[in-house]
Amino acid sequence: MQASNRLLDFPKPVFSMLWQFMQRFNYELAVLSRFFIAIVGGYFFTAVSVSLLSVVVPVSKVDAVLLSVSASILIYTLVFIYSFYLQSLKTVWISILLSVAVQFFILSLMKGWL
Amino acid sequence: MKGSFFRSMTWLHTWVGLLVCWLLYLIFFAGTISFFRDEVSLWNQPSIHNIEQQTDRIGAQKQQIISGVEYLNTQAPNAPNWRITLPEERVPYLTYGYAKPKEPEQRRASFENTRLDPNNMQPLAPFTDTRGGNFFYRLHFDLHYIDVKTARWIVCFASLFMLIALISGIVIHKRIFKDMFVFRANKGSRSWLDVHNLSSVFALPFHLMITYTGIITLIFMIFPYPAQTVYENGIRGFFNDVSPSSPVTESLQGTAPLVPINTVLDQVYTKWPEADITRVIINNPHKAAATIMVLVSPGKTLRDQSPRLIFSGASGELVAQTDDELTGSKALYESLNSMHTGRLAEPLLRVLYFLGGIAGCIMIATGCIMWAKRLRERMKKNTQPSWGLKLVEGLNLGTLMGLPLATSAFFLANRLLSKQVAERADKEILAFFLTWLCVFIIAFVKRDKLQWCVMAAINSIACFSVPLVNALTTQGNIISYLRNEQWALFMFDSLFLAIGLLFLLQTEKLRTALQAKKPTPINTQEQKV
Amino acid sequence: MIALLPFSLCLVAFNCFALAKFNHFKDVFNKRPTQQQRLVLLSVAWISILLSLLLCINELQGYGGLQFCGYMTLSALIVMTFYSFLVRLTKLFNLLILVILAMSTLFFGLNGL
Repeated sequence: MQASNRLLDFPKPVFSMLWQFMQRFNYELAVLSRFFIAIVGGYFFTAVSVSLLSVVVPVSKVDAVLLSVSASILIYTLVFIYSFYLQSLKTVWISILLSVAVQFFILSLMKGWL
Repeated sequence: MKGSFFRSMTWLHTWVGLLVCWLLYLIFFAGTISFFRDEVSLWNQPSIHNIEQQTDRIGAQKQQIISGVEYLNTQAPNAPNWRITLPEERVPYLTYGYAKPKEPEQRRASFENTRLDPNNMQPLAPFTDTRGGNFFYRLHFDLHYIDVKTARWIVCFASLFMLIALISGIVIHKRIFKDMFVFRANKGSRSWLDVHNLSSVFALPFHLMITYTGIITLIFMIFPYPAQTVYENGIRGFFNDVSPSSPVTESLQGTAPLVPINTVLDQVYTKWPEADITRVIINNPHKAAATIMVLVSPGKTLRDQSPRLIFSGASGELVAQTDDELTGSKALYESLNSMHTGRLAEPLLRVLYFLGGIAGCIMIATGCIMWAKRLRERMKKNTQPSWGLKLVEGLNLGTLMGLPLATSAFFLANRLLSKQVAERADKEILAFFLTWLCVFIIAFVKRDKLQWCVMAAINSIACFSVPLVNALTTQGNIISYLRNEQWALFMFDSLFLAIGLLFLLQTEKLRTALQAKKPTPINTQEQKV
Repeated sequence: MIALLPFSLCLVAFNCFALAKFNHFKDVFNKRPTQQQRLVLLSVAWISILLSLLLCINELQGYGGLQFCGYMTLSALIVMTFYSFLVRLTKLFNLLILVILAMSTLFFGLNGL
């Protein structure tokens, strides 16, 4: 009993140190998190939405690719601004992750990967 | 994020700008120079300074092509690739080239080029080994001394941040129409803010366009996904589909005599009577798989990919061509690309592009300076500057004063390095970067107003010495350029004189500001009493 | 010379946009503009700039669009320079651009029609 208690004791100081670190740098971490979702989340959102667009648009293959690619930066910019538009960081993370997943799912269905 | 949308955009604008402003200054600086890269290459190459303008440039093309094919046939009948590059408005010489056998490590074959004066078809004096305007062109997206792919990713993200900074800047400058022409002089950081706003607003369409289209030029590197989704063999499949090619012809085996080039040219002129041919590329001459590709200038249409006709070299029939009519999507993509490269711009529009580029440089530079001034103003009295402030001020001095100096050094090196030096082109580029490094070292040590004043003076001297050294080392000089109507060279030298004057003005301004700060001996005595 | 008309229209447009503001109007005419005068100036400005865009695109389609942006940039710069730095010369400037507009309209009329 005592031995297992001591084993469980080990992670505690690490967790509390981590927790203190996160509370002290709360603002900086929030900033980093927002930039991360804007840049990386934005990139994946654009990648998946632009691929979906190229499959959905009723034009020739070459045209579909060229059209999607021309619009890609517009989409990326909008997602980036969106990440800084909403107040709640949680909402931003969830909405972007969810929309990327949904679009990827639809894309997989359309392309028959699933 | 921070209260209202307005406040979060202000915060975003400052931080996104701060992260990349110095890199963006480099990109804009080199990019603006690249709009005149043909003229820069011309200046760097004294052997082509005195080529006369052809009286009928387009009319002479047919004969130049015919002579070229004859010449290449005698010189290198077995070379895998012949390339005839015809003179253009801004590139006055004719080139006949053939591919040399590829070395094992080389990605592409190097070419043996013979350059001729198109007026008398005489070979020109051997070219100096210099990158010329292409150095600045490559610098603004490939950077230098870094792996090309990494550099392009960095530039793409920096440009994305620039776009975000522009948009957030528009949002926060809500007084954009009210304050459109406001400038308050001599009010410290407020004046810098006004210049920042002015330079951003008056060229705003340009800034938005050049940034967006700039990323579009590299779009297939960062978003290959649409091509990979739509095509089974991914991006290769897409590229094969989008540019005209002739896989059937190219897979033929055996040899076959090359058709007379006349038959091909007749077809070209039948289809496009006013064609301004830029290049003729013959692949695998004297083989059954031979192709002859004729590229014409897109002129003033918004197309970046040169319209071209591809003929079979053995039979002379047309096997592939670019579309006559572009679909909406193709037209969109081509317009975006051509708007960025600006290859279609004739002199007036090219100058306007240059003006926009300079506005961009001013916008970024004032942004950098404002940030440093704001940090300093917020600093509590009698404390040491934080390392952040030192870093920002150091980078400002190093980049804003270092790049112009490095550019002057590049051109001075071009004139002063002897022709026989090995890897001369790389040495000129080394001169550029070494000079820049020196300015950074000075900035690392100290970065006060005195250093700015000294650097401005050095820049002024360097700018004045470029046309001077040019006059001493080549046959022409700024006066002879004016007399002989060699406008490109005249404008180049004049621009350096004008910029030298601007640096002189800056030196004076900083000198008076420094002297005003210094207490005179009488004043200090009075204070003691 | 024909190119001068779209450019001078742009110049007039930005000048009118500037004049529609109280401080710049005061610099030229020494009094505040009435609401009606402001309305007239703004309408003239918008008509002028749209006419310039139309002429550019009519002449050279896509390339003309680019040229129009270039003209806008240059006009904005010139107007900005006068109203911020050369305030005393603004009256002369106003007169000058009217003359240029008249001349270029004449050229356009003689050559275009």
